[in-house]
Parts: sequence; C-alpha cells; structure tokens
Amino acid sequence: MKNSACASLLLLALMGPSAAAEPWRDKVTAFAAGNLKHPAWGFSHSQRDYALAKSLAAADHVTLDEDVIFAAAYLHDMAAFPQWAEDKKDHADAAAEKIDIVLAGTDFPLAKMEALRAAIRTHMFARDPAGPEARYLHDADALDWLGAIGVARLIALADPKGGKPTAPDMLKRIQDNMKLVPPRVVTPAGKARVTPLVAEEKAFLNALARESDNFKNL
Amino acid sequence: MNKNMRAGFLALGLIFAAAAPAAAETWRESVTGFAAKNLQENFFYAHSRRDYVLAKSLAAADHVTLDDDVLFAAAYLHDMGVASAFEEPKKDHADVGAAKIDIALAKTDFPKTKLEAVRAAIRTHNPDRIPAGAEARYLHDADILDNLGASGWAWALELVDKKGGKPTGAQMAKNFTHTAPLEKGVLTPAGKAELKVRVKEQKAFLDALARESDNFKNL
Repeated sequence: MKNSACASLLLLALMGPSAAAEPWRDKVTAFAAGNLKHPAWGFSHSQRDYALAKSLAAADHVTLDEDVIFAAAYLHDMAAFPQWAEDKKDHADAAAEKIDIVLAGTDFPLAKMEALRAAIRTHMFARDPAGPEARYLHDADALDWLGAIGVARLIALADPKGGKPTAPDMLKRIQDNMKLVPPRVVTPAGKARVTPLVAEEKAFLNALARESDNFKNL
Repeated sequence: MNKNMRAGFLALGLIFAAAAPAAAETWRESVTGFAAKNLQENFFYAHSRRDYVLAKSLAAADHVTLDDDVLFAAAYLHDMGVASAFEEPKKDHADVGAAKIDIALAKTDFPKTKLEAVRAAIRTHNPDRIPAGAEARYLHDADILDNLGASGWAWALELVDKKGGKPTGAQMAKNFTHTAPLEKGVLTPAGKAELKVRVKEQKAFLDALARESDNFKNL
C-alpha cells in the first residue's frame, strides 16, 4: 500500500498541473512532419531553420528561449500551405494567427505565445525582427535562401511537366535572392555566413552557365 | 530599268522568295518542334539540347569531325523512348527510341542514308553500352556528363517531388554522391577531361549542401 501510494504521488507530481495537456513538442513535430510537405518550405526547411538559428545564436553568445525558437521554427510557414493560407494576408501574418490550431490543448506556455507570434510574423527577410528568437529565426530563414541549400530549394520547384515555374524562372529567383537577402541579415553570426553562402551560389551558377549555353538550355 | 522590267524582277523575286520556305519544313525544324512538344516532361528537351552542344564541343576539343545531321537528330531524339507517349515498359528506352525515330523523321527531308547511324548512336547512348563511330561515342559521353556536375545536379533537383513525396531532395543528394558507375562510362579524351571538372564541381556542391542540411538529414 505504502509503495503504491508513493508511486501515485510521484506520478501526480510528474504530471503536474498540465496532466491533461498533450506535450506540445510532440504535437508540433508531428503536425509539421505530417502536414508541411514541400521541397522548399516544408518540414525539412523548419528543421534547418531551427538548427541554424540555434547555431547562429550560440556563435553570438546569445541565449534563446528554446520553447519559442522551436515552435516558431516549426510553424512559421504553416500558412504557406493551402489549408491555412489566406488570400489577402501574407503567410507570416496568417501563420502567426493560426498557431493556436496546433498549440491549443497542449502544454505550451501561454506566457510565450506573443513572443512566438512575433517571431513568426517577422521571419521573412524583408521584415524587421525584434527580440532574440525573432532575430535568429529571421536570419536562419534568410540564410536558408542562400548557398547550396538555397539553390536546391528553388530549383526543386521547377515544373517537370514543362509548365510554370520553369527552370529559368527559378534561376532568376536564385539570382534575385543573392541580391535581396544579404543586406537584410541582421545578426553578427548571420552576416558572417553570407559571403561564403553567396560564393557557393556563384560557383554553382558559373558552372551551370558553362554547361547550359549560358542558361539557354535549361 | 523601265517600270515593266522592275515589276517583272519584283514578281520573280517574290516567286523565289516564296518557293524556298514553301517547300516542306526542314527536318531540323521538324525534329526541334517534335522534341519541344513531346519531350518537355522531366526536362528531356533541355537535356537533349545540352547533349548536342556538349557532344560537339567535346569532339572539337579532340579534333574529331562529326556528321552534324546524325548528331543533331540523335541528340534531340535519344530519350524519346522514355517519354510517356513512346515508352515501352519491358524494353530499354535506348532501344525504343532507336526503333521509333521514324515517327519524327519519316516525313522530313532527313537523309535516309544516315538513319542507321542515328539509330546506332541512340541505341548506345546509355552509360553501360559501347558506342561505335564518332557520333555515337560523343553523344554517349555527353549524355553521361550531362548527368554530372552543375547540370546533372540541377536536373536531379528539378525531379524532386513537389509535394514532399519521392524522390525527395535527400534521396537525390545521396544518389548524387554515388556517380562512380556513370563516371566509368566516359570514353573520349575530351570527355575524360570534362569529367574531372564536373566531379570536382559536384563534390563542392554536395559538401556545401551536407554542411547546410546536417549531412542531408534535413533535406
């Protein structure tokens, strides 16, 4: 009896006040893995953003709130998918409003919801992030448009049936990003990574130009 | 020259001008139109154009003269056997293509005496086949090389499933790290020189991608 009473108490203590709530990281991960399937802004992009944001912050000796950066990295592009997209709203704003679809009923700390929304709202490189999680998510997301990974994400969007977007369309997006993204990176560690990433892209584009009659045969 | 003479010359000029284009469409136009219409899927048309340019460039580097009719037709039609409209599931696409080129060439002014050379080049364009003859050898090498380097990597990426299914980017990257069997197929001196350049290029791309994707786990 004594042992079983102790075990019950321990279990209650472990479960705490959110005993009925679903563990939020499990739910967020399952939601992203199951629903965000896309070669450019799907689950793997979220995984990269999360890892890169943490790595950049560590390089700058900045401590991030792990709950905010995880949830923001995994949910920031959810409104780029038709189920959660809104016609007249940028996907960042729509996602910031819709994260409750995933987090309601979980044990995600309610006090962190607004920091999470803010990070999602400003994740695109053209926006101005405030706060460490927002800044490092913003830069990770920006840098994921550059380098070998930026090339891979964009070329993977070309239509193999001969429709739009074409391979040359995506090539132009790569070239545009090489100009537009670098000046928008805000953190010291992020800025340090821009030059090598752009150099990777230039090397790839130079080689591709040589092998495709200056992109005419793409 | 009086008014009547000028009108006469003008009329003659018009007749000559009309006569040349009025003749049947040239076979190159016909083949290009055929490939542009039927081989867009999976980027085969772009690949065919690259093969043609590269085969010519490799042959020029080796000071080898190619029959441009044979090379052009073979390069533009070599993958027609893998296009959904022409494929035959139980046959290799190279053999299917070689057997079906008449669909594109029969009603054109393509020199009939060169048809067998086109068929032979198409039949042996696969990396594991042995080409005979200059056009076949340079098409064979160009075709392998276009699967490597920046063009090969771009082509692999273009084929990644758009809805997150297979093939994934990770699968394409892993496949691209094992190109040794392809590389062994390159036969010509210029092809072997170009191979070194492309293998070096693709190693640089893949090393960078591995760094940026936790060794391809986050692709």
